[in-house]
Amino acid sequence: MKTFLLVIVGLSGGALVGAGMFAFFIALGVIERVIDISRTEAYRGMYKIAILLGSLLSTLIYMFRFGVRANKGWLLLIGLPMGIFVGMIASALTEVLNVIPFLSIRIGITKWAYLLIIAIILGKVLGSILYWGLLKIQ
Amino acid sequence: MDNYIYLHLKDHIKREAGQDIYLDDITELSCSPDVRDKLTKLVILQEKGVGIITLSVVEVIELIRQFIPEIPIISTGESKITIHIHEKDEYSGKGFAGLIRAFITSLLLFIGSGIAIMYFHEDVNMHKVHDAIYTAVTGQEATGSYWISIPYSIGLGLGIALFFGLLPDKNKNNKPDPLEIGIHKYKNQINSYLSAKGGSKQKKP
Repeated sequence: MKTFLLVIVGLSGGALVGAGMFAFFIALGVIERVIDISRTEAYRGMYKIAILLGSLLSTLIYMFRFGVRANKGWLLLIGLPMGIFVGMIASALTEVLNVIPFLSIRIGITKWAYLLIIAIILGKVLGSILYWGLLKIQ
Repeated sequence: MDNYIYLHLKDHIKREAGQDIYLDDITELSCSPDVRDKLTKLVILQEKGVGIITLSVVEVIELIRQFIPEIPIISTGESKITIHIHEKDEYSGKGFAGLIRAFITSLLLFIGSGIAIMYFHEDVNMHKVHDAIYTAVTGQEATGSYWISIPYSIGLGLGIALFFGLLPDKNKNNKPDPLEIGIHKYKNQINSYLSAKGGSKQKKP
């Protein structure tokens, strides 16, 4: 009886978290933006499957800690897309997407709006490198 | 050609100070040629200082009526127009002052974004996740090595550049990127607020 209850709770929790997470991503417009840039809307069925499999796989890996004994080089291949996706999410958040137009119009520097973005990019990359390199938290 | 005047009032226009505003600036007109000759030189606003002025289509029609009393006028556009008169180059960021402002703002964003991303990583405990991935892929305990962190950080920058359309791409097909859309949305919000509030009234010439 107890296990049955646990199973129900687990299933419901997972369903809600999964749906909620990706409603969030879609609302941000990140996935849409990626599809737009790659001009591959015809493949959106495949993308749904990709997202589903990716989420499932990563959940299993994280929960059950299984893995392979592969070369460290694969990490480079995995790390880069990780960063790209997080970078896109970080840009789609309101804090960035509304702040830049607001700043550039209020301070009167619309000509330099893209300079602001480059400043943000450099800041975030540097901040991330600092975080991983110099500030190791146990 | 039927004898009407079709008046398509624009939503908003922006002009530098020091110019008169003509009917042609604020509307698109469709009318017979002799009527058009009379109307193109019609001055809506004398040259004044800077400011934001809202005109309703009715005020424009009354102005036209002083010169063309009989022909029916049909309004096909907006019901109000917001005319924004600003100093020359006030918003473009030209000149040395603009450069200084841009530099200071960039510095603010550079440092701020760096700190923000550090807070974010700490907040979501990304370190633990990266260690888990490291162990999953290589089978060894994570020792703070940089094989994930460095490509991740580079990817972070690439992701933002990708999102804002900064990467060169010959097939961009000229679609606006989210920043342009954001600026456009913000300006629209300003304009619709101003036209709802109603700017200063125009004095009758």
